[in-house]
Amino acid sequence: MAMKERIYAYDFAIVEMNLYLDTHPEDKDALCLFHQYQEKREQLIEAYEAQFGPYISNVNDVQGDKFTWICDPWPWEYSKEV
Amino acid sequence: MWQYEKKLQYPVKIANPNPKLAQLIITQYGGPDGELGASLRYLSQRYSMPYAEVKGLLTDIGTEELAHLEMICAMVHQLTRNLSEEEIKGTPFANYFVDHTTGVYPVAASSVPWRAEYIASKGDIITDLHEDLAAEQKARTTYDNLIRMVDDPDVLDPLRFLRQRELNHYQRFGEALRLTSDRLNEKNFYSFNPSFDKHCNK
Repeated sequence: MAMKERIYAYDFAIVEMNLYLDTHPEDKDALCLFHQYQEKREQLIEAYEAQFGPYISNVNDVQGDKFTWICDPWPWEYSKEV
Repeated sequence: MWQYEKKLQYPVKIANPNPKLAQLIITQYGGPDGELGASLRYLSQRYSMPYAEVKGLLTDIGTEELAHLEMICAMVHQLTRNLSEEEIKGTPFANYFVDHTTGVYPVAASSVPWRAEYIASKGDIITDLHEDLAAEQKARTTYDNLIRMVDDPDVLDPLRFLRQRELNHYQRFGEALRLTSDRLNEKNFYSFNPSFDKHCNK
């Protein structure tokens, strides 16, 4: 799986754990898993940025003299890549 | 506040445009059980929730629904990209095209524009959670109906993801209802409004 897809998978797992924790705020196992996912996601983003430059969903992407936030593609546009 | 993440919650990559399918799928944007209504329903209801868990849940599910309406809009956009006039003439999509070209506008599959009557925010936690449970099931039924109409795997994949989310949200709303009734005097579950009549708590 591409590194960006792996980050997205952790993003989703974190959203799902967040909903579970809303109704089970004292579930120790779930809290532990939630922290593990967050740590894993941060490690993957660090590895991604070391290899490819700024991670796409960070708001303040600037490369050189250009504000790259506005660069295509936007998420709704068709592209074969992740 | 909200911050935009420049990504979809789940990928939408539809290789072949198909305006007929777009006309059906748009109902999960602007239809009676669509994602636009879902997000506004939960994000409106949260203000009268007396319990922290339920405030959190409505905020977080309401936020996720915004990501879902973005996925639906991305599907509609990709299904209607690069169309020629010939590909539109004589199809059911022609009626939509006359009003909106290939812009994305919240309407139902039956072409009725989105209406606030699709949602409720009653200021009563029990009433609102029952509305939410029903809403998730209605959305699930709509996804089932769409899945019956589609055979393009690029379209089926995100539809199946969204259908599954309705089930997970239903589970969480069920837990919210249980958390709520656990805090109420069991003689009074359905005769008071726990968001307003504070004496019905245990």
